Order: sequence, then C-alpha cells, then structure tokens
Amino acid sequence: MDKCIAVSNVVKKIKGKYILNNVNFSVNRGEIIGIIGQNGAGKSTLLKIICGLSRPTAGEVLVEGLSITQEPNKIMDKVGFLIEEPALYPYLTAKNQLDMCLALHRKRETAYSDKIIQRLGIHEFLAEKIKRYSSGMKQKLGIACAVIHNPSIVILDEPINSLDVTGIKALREFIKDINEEGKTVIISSHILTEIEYLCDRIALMDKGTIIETASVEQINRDSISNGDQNALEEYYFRKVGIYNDDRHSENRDS
Amino acid sequence: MIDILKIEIAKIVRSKSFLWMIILLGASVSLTLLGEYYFIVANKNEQPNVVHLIYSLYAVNATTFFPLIIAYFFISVLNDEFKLKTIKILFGSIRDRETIYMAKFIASAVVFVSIFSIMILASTVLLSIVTDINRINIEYYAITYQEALWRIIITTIIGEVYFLCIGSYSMLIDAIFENQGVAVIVFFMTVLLWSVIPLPQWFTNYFFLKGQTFFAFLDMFEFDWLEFMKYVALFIVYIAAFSGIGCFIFSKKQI
Repeated sequence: MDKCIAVSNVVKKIKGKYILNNVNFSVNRGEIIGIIGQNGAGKSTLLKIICGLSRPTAGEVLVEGLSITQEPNKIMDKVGFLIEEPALYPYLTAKNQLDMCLALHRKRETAYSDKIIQRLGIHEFLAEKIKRYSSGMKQKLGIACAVIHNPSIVILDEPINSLDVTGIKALREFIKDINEEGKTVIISSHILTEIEYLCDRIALMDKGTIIETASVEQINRDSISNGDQNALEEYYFRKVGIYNDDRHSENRDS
Repeated sequence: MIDILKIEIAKIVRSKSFLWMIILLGASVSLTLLGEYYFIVANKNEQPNVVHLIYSLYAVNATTFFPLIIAYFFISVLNDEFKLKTIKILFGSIRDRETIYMAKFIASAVVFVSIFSIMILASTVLLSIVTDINRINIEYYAITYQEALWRIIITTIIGEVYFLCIGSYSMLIDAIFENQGVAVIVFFMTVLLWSVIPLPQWFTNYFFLKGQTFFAFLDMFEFDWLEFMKYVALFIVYIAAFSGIGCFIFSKKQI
C-alpha cells in the first residue's frame, strides 16, 4: 500500500509529562482512518503534530514523503484540517472567511470550492456574518475551510461535534464523497458508531500511544466469532483493558 | 506579501477594532486642544498659535496616553488570533509565519498612520482657521505659516515613527505572552520603570522610549537635521529589532 503519512517514534513531552509516547503508525493513500481513544489519550495532540501545528519532542512525521518539521509550507497545501473547535472570524461573512482560506493557499474560487459550499449547505448563508451562525453551521463552515483548497489529506478532529442528526448524516455522505474523490481522511471521534460506519481502518489510542490498528472488517469478523453485539465498542474495551493489564504487569515485573 | 497584507488590513477594517482607537485619540486630541486654547486665552492674555497648540497636544499625550492607546491597538490585532484560535488557519496555510507576522505589523501600522495623520491634519486645518496664521512665533521668534506647517509635518512624521516603534514592541510582547492583559501590563510597566528608575546616560541616549520627547523638534529655533536623522535611525533600528525577534518567536509558536 502507498503510504501518505508515516509517524515514527513520535514523542511529545509538555512540562515533563508525556502526552505522546513513542507513537508509530502510518496512513495509506485513499483510506479513511479513525483514531479512537478516551479523553486525554493524545488524539488531538497527534493530529496537531501531523498538521504541523505542534512539533514533536522526538521522532519524525512524514507527509507525502516530506518532513513536517523541515518543510511545513510544502505540506500545508496538501493537508486540510479541523482541529478541536472551528477557527472562524465572527466579524466576517462566510464568503469572506472562505475567500481568505483560499487566498492563504494562493488559490481562488473554483468549481471545486463552489461544490464544497453547496455540498455542505453553506451557500444559503454565505453573505451572513459568522457571529450569527448556529454552532452546527459553524462546524460545517469549519469543515468547508479545511477542504476548500482541495487538499489530498483531510484531518477532522471530532467533526460531528455540534451537529444535529441531519447534519451528521450529511457529513457522513460528504466524507464518503471526498474519499471517493481520492482524498485520504483521518477522523478522531468519541462516537464509535460513526467511526465504525465511516472508516476503513481504526487506530486505537490510549495513554499517549497507539496500542493497535485494525481494519473495521477484521474487527467485525472478530466480533462475530466472539458473539459481540457492538463490534467496535467491545473491541475498544477489550483492547484498552488488555493493554492496561499488560502495562501493569510490565510495571510490576520491572 | 501584498495579498496577505490586504487580508490583514481587511480583517482590521471588518473587525472594527480601530474604532475605539479613533474615539480615544479623537477625544484626547480635541480635549487637549480645547483645554490648551482656553487656558492660553484666559491666563496668558495672548493669542494661541497653531505651533504652540500642536506642541501642547504632543507634550500632554506623547508620554503615556498615546503610547498606551497605540500599544493596545497593536496588541489586540495580534492577540485576536490567539483569542479566537484563528491562528490555526494562519499556521495551517502555505505562507511563512514570518510573512504573516510582518503583514500583521504593517497592516496595523498602515491603519494607525492613516488615522493619526488624518487626525493631526484635521486639527491643523481647524487650528489654522480659528487662530491667526499671520502671527506665529516660537517664544519671541516669528516664523511664517509655511514654516509652521513644515515643522508640524516633520514632527508628526518622527512622532509616527516613534509610535510604530511602540507598536512593534507591544506586538512582540503579545507574541511572547499571547495574552492581551499581560501584554498591556508589561508595556505599561516598561513606560513606568523608564520614568521612575534612574538609568545611566549612555543607556537613556539609545533607548527607544527616549522618543517620548520627539515634539521638541517642533519649537527648535533652528531645526537640527542631524539630531532628527539620529532619532529616525534609532527608531528604525528598534522597529527592525523588535519585528525580527517577534517574527522569530511567532515562527516557533506551537498550538
């Protein structure tokens, strides 16, 4: 498989505390990969490092074969992201904000950007100031900002936050669509059913490290053989439990 | 750089963050000029002139009030990005962080210089109407209206360069602390300590806050070009140094 992101031995230490501890994983071109883990597992920190917003204390991240720490500007055009809450200027209109996002990537409005606006249902509110937007609309606009410059890799941290049922359904279809266009998508979420529905592969994070990656197909196969009802949920608890038990016994041994 | 500069100017204009600067500067300019005008008329039994009034305007405000307003404006332009977390959009773009920082500084400078120049121009025009422009003197030395205008223009230019120095310093503080309140306090403490702590002459001669007395150029009997150039060069060196350090710190920021 052609890898578009390779994370090797990444460590992130803040104020003496390990937020990420020796993270290794890779993302294949054109797949949708989900990162799951509890609060504080290090998901957002890992995504920020992949986006170049944060630097690793040690280790290396290669995006499309380029080092994120050494050539960030070359990579930024290939990556679009929505990390934590959407970053929006309340005093701008959605049109101003999207034009600004394009200009920052030295791009102008194209048929593609129009399509994104239509697909996310922002076209009706383009002339309205962002401060008047509902939180769901802000989330959609944040996603539009992440993909408007047509990146090949899209990173979405908790993308269904603030979305209602219709919004979630529309976003699911949108993610599937952009993936069919050939974009690689990385999603982190607490909502396991969403991840299960959308993703080809899952990376399970706990206490600052990726403890396992597996394809959704494989997880489903395992759950059938184990007789589990909620495949991903059971898988998650089983793996995190096993991992913690292993770590406790390692600690006891050492 | 030009397109980023346009974006930054558009953001300042659309956020209307410059409005309170107009209000505060306008209030201080009009109150100082009115107060001084009536003070001269009432107590000195003489006619106020345009040079004297503009001199008073700078003398009253240039030490603390103008610098505080200007520092707050420059700090807020940068700090809004941290507060709104929109810094992620800027850092996630293909532009150099140094370019973004410089565009922010230059955009703030363009907005500030435009507002300040219009304000001084309007004051000068108004004062030229209400005072006798045929009798302008510096102490007992009479000067022509043309010379008075020329002196006001030159002094305003050096004043603006000094205020840009203040702007670059305050933006640097905000790049370090990422907190508007802390940055304003640090700036205020710098001004306060400069006035309170006795410093060696060699230091005070070359410290940027020496520019607080830039308005002295307005009532010199003979305009000292060498001194003027020294001041301008000093402020430009400080602007370059503060902006350079600011760019470096900004480029190392992590979210």
